[in-house]
Amino acid sequence: MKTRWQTIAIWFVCMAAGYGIIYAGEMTGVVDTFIENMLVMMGINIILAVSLNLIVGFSGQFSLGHAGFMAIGAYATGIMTQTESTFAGLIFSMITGIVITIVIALIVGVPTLRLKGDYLAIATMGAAEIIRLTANNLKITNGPAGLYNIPQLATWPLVYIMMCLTIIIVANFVHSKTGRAIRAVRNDELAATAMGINATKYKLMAFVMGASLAAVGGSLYASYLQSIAPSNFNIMESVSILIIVVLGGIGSITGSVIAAVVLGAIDTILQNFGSLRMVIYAVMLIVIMIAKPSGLMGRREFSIGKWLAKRTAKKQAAAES
Amino acid sequence: MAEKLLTVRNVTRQFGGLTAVNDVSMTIYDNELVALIGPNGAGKTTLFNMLSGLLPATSGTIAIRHDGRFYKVSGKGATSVAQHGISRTFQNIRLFGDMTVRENIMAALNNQFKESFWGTIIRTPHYYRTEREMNDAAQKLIDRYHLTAVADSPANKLPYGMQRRVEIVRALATKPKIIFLDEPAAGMNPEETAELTTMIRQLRDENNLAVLLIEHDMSLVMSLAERIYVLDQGEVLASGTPKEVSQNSAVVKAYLGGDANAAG
Repeated sequence: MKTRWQTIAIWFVCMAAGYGIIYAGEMTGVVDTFIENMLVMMGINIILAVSLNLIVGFSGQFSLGHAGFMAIGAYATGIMTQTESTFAGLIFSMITGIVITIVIALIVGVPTLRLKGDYLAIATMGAAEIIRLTANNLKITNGPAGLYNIPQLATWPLVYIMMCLTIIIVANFVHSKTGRAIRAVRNDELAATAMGINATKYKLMAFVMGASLAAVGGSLYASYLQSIAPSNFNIMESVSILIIVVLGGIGSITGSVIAAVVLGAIDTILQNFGSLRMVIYAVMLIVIMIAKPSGLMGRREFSIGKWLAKRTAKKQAAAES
Repeated sequence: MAEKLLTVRNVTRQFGGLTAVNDVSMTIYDNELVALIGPNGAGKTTLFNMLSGLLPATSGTIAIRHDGRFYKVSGKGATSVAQHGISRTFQNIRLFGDMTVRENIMAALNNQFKESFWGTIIRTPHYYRTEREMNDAAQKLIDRYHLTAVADSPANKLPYGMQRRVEIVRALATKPKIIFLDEPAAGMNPEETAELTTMIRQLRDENNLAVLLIEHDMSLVMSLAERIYVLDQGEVLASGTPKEVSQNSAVVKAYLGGDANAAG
């Protein structure tokens, strides 16, 4: 009971401190527009990577369609906030994006989640392409040109708060009865069903939840960058989110957060290198993967609760001896 | 005599032109220890997979008594079958490898506890209570079947014999009325086999359940089983007490071979 509140308090302090540091940076001018842009993109990438990790890492379904769900959120916000450009409008558009995503993720998920591995990857990739091509051909989405002049309602504090919420939601979800069932299905679907675990239900749950969080990421992306086009949500976007997940460690939320920050920083630093940028970036990816094949964190997590428990155990042992 | 628990009526399974299980009928009563033996390729595992709902039967019916009524297993999915009191282990151990022993058992307890989605997300007191209750239920099983030392190690890091024990306890966690053990003693040394024999008896006596096991270790079968079904080429060749079966000439010819006297 005591450690529970301590854990919550420490996490809260950490998140508040992160906010404080960025706020101080903004005030003193250390964080200029350029750096703020980098930080916001990091935050959005954390949302996308953590939610994809729920699908790929925890429920073990290799999805290549994350950019599609991101696009739904982005277009919902892009279209709706142009007519209702208030903060409430942004939140409402975000919820609309989530609802549409849930419906589409269910439609996509029910038939495709019976597939495994490469087959599922191709099916989800196809689904994302359908979403992108729909945006490319509809009038309301303004075709290939996309939407611009979207009011900038999402500021860095909102992105920061949504990032924290996403991490909390996914971490709590994974460490629950449902999360355990999802991990059991990933480990051995056949054995899980034989233990009475409804594999389809739990796979679908993880998939839909991951997809709807991607929609939130998409909403923030559209609102912060103020312009979106179908080409922002192509297969390469799905792949780059997947890279963050794989690099951080499949099945590690901490890993996804670290990888999103590291890759975001590398990407920003390399902008000075012009066309060599992508070459250096790719080489670094290869080097990291050779040095740490299971990702930066593997499946490990940074857990304050466990750390506290260990510390108390040590103290007790010391007191006894 | 005890009440009928599981009835298998004329069950057949064909794979293309091959008939793996042919017109098998059997009955298992409450709290019985039954062994299913037969040479390799006799269709034992195929029958097990049908009984646990992992494989649909080509024809025939399987039913289990659930809340006083017979529930048809044939044609239902494994999840639903498991929820009606059937649980099993696998020939080639299938634990949830990177989860701890405790988590393996807690995952099998899944259907006995309720949890709300939003309660999980915002961590209501109900969430903490459910987690604690599940942990307590798992701890009871861990203590009773001597898994305390390994409770928090990942399942795939355990020695082979221990993994088999964990798999049996995991199957038990679903609160089954019948438990199928697919070659539980495979790859065990005599000492581990002796421990396993005690464990299976304890399992049956303490939990009021029936056990059906496939096993090649004849000394284990003969000492443990109260009844034996012999399967050969997909058909029931003989059934009865260990003594009856070991004296059956057809069985001796098909399966026990020259070892008939030693095994009996």
